Amino acid sequence: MEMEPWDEEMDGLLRRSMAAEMPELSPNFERNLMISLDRTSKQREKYRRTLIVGYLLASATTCIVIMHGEGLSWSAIGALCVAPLALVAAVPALLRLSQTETHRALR
Amino acid sequence: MESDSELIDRVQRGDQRAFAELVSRHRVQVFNLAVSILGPAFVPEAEDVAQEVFLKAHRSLKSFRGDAEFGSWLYRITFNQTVNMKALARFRKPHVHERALEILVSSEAGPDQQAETTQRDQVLAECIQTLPDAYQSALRLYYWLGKGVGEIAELLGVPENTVKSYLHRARLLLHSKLKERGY
Repeated sequence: MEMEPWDEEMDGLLRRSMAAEMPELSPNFERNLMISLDRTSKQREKYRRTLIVGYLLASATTCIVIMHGEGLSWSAIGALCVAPLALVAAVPALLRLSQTETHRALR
Repeated sequence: MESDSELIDRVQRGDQRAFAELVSRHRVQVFNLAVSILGPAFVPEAEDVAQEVFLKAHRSLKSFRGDAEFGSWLYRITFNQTVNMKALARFRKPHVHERALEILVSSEAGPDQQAETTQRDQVLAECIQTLPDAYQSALRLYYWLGKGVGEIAELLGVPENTVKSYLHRARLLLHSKLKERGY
């Protein structure tokens, strides 16, 4: 398609006027990016952990206060708090043990 | 060579090297798109935008389902991120790139003609800044960065005919703006 005279004139003007050096990314771009990526990932992980620990502490304290208010003894409260934690800790270990036993049985 | 979607699978499984490979494949396009929207006076800022885009993409990749091409998705993030950054007042200042001025000054025209050309280019740069972002981007990608219509279409996420129409309308608008200002 042929260009109209004004369009051709503008085309030439833009070509002349915008003829400048091409910009380039700095050679350290990727390295800097990976460093920031690592830093932000660590910050997010730290924030996530702080949030979980904060939630656990707040909910445990609330539970303890309520249970104590209901008249439960400190030993019973202690057992009720430790038992779920022990269960959470024991399940992965039990799973690993059962997998090892299965592998042995298959051999 | 692994495809983008294979690399994305690896990133979703926690492989940082796969992400580095994706960055190395797309960094130039992301940077070119950002600099085409911001303009030649903001090259360091365009690099900051490119970095921000990849950090954002990394955060969102876990939920990326592959409904669109990774490149198109990334360029859409780049366009939006750059336009948001440009909304800041300091990115609205018009300019003529220093190198462009050097070229004009070193030409064989007489001093009066050189001054007139420099002034006209300054006005042209001001007029370009008033165009819609997509038009500015298409103009700079085409005339400054020397990209073809096909590549511009891919970066802006529009059909090739739309890019041609952006370029035509941008020239038309610039022509009438220059005429209004006596050029």
